[in-house]
Amino acid sequence: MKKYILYTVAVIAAVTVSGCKDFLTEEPPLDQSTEITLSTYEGLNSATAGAYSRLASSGWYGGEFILLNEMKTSNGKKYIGTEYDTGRMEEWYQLNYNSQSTSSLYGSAYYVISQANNVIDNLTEDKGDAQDLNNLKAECLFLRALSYFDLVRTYAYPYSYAPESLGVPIVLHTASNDQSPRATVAKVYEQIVTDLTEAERIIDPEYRRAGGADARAFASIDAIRALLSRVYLYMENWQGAADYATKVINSGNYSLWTVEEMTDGACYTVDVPDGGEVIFEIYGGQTNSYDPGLEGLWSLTAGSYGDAGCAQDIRNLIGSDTDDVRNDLFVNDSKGVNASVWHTAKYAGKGIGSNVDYTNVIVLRLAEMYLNRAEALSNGARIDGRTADMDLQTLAENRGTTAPSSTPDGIFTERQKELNWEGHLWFDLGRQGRSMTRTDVANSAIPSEIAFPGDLWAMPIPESEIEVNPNLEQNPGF
Amino acid sequence: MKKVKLFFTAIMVLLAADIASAQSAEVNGTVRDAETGEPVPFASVVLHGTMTGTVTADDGSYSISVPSLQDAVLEFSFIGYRTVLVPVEGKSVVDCELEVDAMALEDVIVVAYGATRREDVTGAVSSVESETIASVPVTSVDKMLAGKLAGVQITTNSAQPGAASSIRIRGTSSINSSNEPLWVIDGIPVINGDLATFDTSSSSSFTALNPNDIESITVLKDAAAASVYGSRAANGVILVTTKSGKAGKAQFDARVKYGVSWLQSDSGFRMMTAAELLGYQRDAIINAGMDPDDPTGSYYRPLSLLNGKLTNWVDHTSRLGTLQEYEISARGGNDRAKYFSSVSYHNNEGVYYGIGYEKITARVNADYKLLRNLETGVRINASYGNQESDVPLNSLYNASPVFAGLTMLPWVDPYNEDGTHNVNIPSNSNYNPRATAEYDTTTERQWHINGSMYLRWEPVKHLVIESRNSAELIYNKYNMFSSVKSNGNPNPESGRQVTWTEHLQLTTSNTINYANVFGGYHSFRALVGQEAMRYNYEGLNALGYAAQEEIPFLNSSDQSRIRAEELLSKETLLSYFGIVDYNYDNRYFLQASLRADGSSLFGKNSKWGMFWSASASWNINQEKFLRNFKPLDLLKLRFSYGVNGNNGIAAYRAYGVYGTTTYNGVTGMSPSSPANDELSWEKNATWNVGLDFAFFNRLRGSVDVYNRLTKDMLLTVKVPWTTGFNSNFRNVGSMKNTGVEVQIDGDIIYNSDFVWNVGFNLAYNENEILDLGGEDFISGGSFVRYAVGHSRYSYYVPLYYGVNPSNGEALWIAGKNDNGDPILTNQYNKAMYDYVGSPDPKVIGGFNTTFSWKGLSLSAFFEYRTGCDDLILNEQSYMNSDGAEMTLNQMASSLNYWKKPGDNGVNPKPIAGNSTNSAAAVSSRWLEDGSYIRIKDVTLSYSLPQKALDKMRIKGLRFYVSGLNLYCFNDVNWWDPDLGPIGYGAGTYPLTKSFVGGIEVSF
Repeated sequence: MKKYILYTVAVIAAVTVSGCKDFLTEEPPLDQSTEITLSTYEGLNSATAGAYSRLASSGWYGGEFILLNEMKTSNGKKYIGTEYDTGRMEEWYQLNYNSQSTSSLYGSAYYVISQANNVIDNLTEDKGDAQDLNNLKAECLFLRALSYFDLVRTYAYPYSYAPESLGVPIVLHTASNDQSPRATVAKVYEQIVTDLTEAERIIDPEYRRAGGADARAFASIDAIRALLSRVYLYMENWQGAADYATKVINSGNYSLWTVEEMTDGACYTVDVPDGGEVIFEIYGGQTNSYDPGLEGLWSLTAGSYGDAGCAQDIRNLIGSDTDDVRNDLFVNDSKGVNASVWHTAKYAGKGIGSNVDYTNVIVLRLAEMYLNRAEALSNGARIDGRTADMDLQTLAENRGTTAPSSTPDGIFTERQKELNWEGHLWFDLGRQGRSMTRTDVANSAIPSEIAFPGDLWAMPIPESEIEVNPNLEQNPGF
Repeated sequence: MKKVKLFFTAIMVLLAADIASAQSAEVNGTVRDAETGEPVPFASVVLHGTMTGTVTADDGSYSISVPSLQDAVLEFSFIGYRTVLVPVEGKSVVDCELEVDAMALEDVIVVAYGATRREDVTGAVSSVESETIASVPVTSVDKMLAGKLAGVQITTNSAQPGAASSIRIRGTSSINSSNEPLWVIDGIPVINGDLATFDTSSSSSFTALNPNDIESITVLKDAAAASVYGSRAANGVILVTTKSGKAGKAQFDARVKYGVSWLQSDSGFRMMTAAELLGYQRDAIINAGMDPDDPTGSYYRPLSLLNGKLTNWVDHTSRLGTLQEYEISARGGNDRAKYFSSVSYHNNEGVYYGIGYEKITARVNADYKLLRNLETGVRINASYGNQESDVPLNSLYNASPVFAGLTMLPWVDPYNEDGTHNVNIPSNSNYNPRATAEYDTTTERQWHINGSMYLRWEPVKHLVIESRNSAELIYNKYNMFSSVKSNGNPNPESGRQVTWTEHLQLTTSNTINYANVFGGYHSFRALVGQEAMRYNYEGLNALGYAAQEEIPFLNSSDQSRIRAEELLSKETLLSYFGIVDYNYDNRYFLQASLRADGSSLFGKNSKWGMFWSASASWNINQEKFLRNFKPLDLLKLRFSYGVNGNNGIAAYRAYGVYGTTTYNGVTGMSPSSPANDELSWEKNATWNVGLDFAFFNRLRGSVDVYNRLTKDMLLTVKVPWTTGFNSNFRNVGSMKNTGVEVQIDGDIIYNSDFVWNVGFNLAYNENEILDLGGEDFISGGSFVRYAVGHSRYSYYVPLYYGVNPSNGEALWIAGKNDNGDPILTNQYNKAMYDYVGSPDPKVIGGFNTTFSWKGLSLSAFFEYRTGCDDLILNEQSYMNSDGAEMTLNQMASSLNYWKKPGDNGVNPKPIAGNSTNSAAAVSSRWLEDGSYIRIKDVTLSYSLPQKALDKMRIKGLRFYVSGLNLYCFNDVNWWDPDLGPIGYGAGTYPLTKSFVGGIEVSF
């Protein structure tokens, strides 16, 4: 009898113990768990495609990242008290942001970084063709580098000014208990360069993600090189900036917009570019999960709310030569009620929406490559057969104007004329140690000069983040 | 001092005697009933501290051999009598008189994985027996527990027929996890919680039970009692045991009852009459600077409105509700097989047109002895419920009779000239609740089937191996059709929704129990067990529009707009547990339990939780120095400490999940919720100190003091964005419930003809949030805040000050000046927010009394609570609107408004189209003291005497009539102050009054 009992107990114990591990595992049936998503090539491919999504959000290229950086400069003006004033963009224009009202890029960028990290960490050989996997990895490295670049530009002092000052936390493997401290600016730039050079090395030069409406809204070898050119320029690695700009220019994949193409800002209202300058852009469209809608660039410039107006400073700068086709890139009084109001025409919409229109946001384009190279060459970089003057001349010919002199001021001004309202000016000022000055301000309470250096040149880390990460140090002055 | 000396001497003598005596001796005697003097046959006579014993003969005589006449103690016992210990003290004849045990102190009560004598319990346990259950004519189990057990709070979320209650045992312990206790029916934990599609919480397993099928209910309140259900026992455990068959001739019980119910407020709440409302509105229009007699004005309210047809819409939308119930059960068996079976039908027509509930239940309980040591049995319960409401209730909806019945204007004609329902009512968005009741359909039907089977094997003496296996299936089907006929708006469109959900829970529970008594005094029990549960949920929800009236289904709906979704969820639980009991001489009791539970709901690194408890009790009255102190029947001190778990969260929260995202025309995947591999059990650590006492065979009571500490609370907390997310669901935070419970029952008069007993219970509980993972508060909506240092439910609202006596404006407190005096403002949006109260009652309880004289019995039961608030914000903001709602009838209390300078303590001056926010919903203006005393039921019953029954050849016949919820003493300006644990409602079906009469026959 006793044997019998022992036997029964042993069977029950064996069954329960052996089945126990699987028995307690229940995967979510209606969603895909992170583990399963990242376990196959198809899942990794989808996760990589998904990593672009948030770039289009209102907090990043869909709106705020461009707008806040323009409104801090002489390109932007808030027409306070007019129909174009809905209360938006105030802190940026008045440069009185604090740790509560700082840029919201932080969350979006680390979200994209986590997406890139998740894919990179799970790209093991067994999951598919080596080149296919490398292409995914290159896309993720590019997105991670772009995220870190935008983060370090936003929340830290310029590399050229204080490379050993506080940068942003470098997270290469996202974990749910992460509390990383801030790395130095130099370390963050080092990581960006590492990621981009690795991406350049492994990506198939012909690779573009398939299936998209706009092929240039995905990473490519040219996009990687163009971003590297800009990163090196910010680091004052002149030869690097010139070399990578040259690689893009010589690829033959792009041509500078002509005066004709730029007339009436036509090149900025194209839905899907064919030829032309665009190397990498954010595609705007109704089906985007992160469609910024009325909080986006179209609405906040000329399209609807219009809080982000354009100052006379930039119009006058270009207007000094009335033949310059870039005079076409401003729109006057879009609501037809206040003739003194001006806006950029670079986000005038693609004419595909009624209540809300959609616009692409250019991140990297060919004209910048010419300007990067001109600046690098004028600072001592060498490219056989090319000079800074030649690059400035090429650009001027396509804008119906005369080339500036290849002095630091001449090139700087040309950058502002060409790249205004594309998110460059504030960072160009900072990296060259220039103060921000403007004359057309809404009222006397609005600062017309921000001296460099100063606390405002590194935006505060969001307070909510400081509260939950004990290792984060806030920027001075906030 | 003398006594102590004597006591020691006695011990010395006894010890000496023990050593000296080795030879055995005979003791004889007779056992008699103390009152009647009749001999008691079959009484048990045991040599105390041993297994040696005998049974008295027909004449009450016995004979037993004892080792020593000097120190032997005999224990006399028989069912229904109090056990008596008699020292032999050298005598060879020991007679004994047994007293009837009025208090049933030695009841056997069901506890976790077994049954025990009440006397042996070490934890905090309350129980109710079948007689108490059956005597209250209620329709579901939860309702009859209200106010009966100290520390068990039963509140009514909605009194809609068929809706379940919210149950809180010793307060609220969690913010995001469940606060409902675990229900264990016949040894199997069952599905609990609101499984209904709409907010009626009617699908919990206990609603499928027929109250008359229940033998007993035990509520395990502290950690020691409950922790062997460790996993889900944090909020206490309710053990329900259903009736089993009894050996003997078959007995049939038939019950019939019929009742009526009606709406009634005992606090003076009512809506305005037509004349009152017209006067009020005309004043409001004049106050707004307009003319009520101007036909072209915004508000044209001529006095002639009163000459037209006037309707009291509360009367028009409500009716006398009815209740009928028919039931028959049979029980019987022989020494091998026993059975109990029952069927019942219940039909309840609500007090509002279009609202009703129907329930059919059937049960079979059977037990069979296969071999001398092998027993098996089944428990099968099946039920069907159909809850009909025509419109989804619990909303401030124009078609809901509960809401619109109050607010519709008296001068709106309910009928068209042709006698059909008028739906051209712009003031009520062109709805008429009576038209809805006639043309629309909303039904929620549930099928519950719960079957379990056990096998109990006693391979050797003292060792019992038991396996219980059950399957529980709940199928829920929601059908809704909103007709165009009940909608007077231009171009109306019909709507159709069909939702079905299916819950299947499989449980196996296997235990090995060893119990024995060693050396006479050491009784010992050990139990080890294993349990596994798998729960599977599936469903489909489909919506359509523009279905044809004649074919009111999705088939005729606009096919291009049909939307459907599937619902899926799974959960598993695996547990191992053990209990060890030890008692020495029925004086010292020790119990320890340990349980390991693994749940699929938690992170892969932290699925398992360890729960344990230790408890001890001391039956002081069994000590020799008190044993012969006659007036004292029981004096027991209990102490326990233990840790229980709570896993009442949605499935898959520990999983990191990717969802779809689209960019540039490509659908990709992006993380939608973060992984939390460390997500684990919420824990409840409770200590309890209790004292049980009984005196004079008349008075019995207990007092418990406890402290429940919730730790590792499951909360959504902010985390660094560098983790990829800015919030995650974590185990942080803590909360505490501290309280005292008192329960006292007594017989004031007890003799064979006349019995008068009274009972009273009181529970005091204080809840406080101690920590929220670093946050000071977490918002629980626009007016509820979970804040450190406050009760779990705390209203956080703008502070209303009162009316400005000089101009009738509403005033708010904007802040306090240095002296602490309020700074006032007439602007709502400048008012300061503060914590103003909580719906969580500090004190709850009940008292009851029964007089019985021969077969006649009159009982009354009262329930009360205090130290809590109600916030009738939704309804008051519409119905006490200071003129803001000119198309809605207003509460009669609104008539007390500011009329002239100097009026104070009144409602603000009504202004037609009022835009001052004086009646804003989120405001302390609507806070009211939620205390009440309720006459829960008064029952008069008569059972026919045995002689008459014998003539009629039946075993029992009882007639009764009951008044339920007859009156509620309260000051809340609403139908009833009980509004569930949250203290507010929105179009919630109120508690009603009812009379029920019935007949019960046994044959």
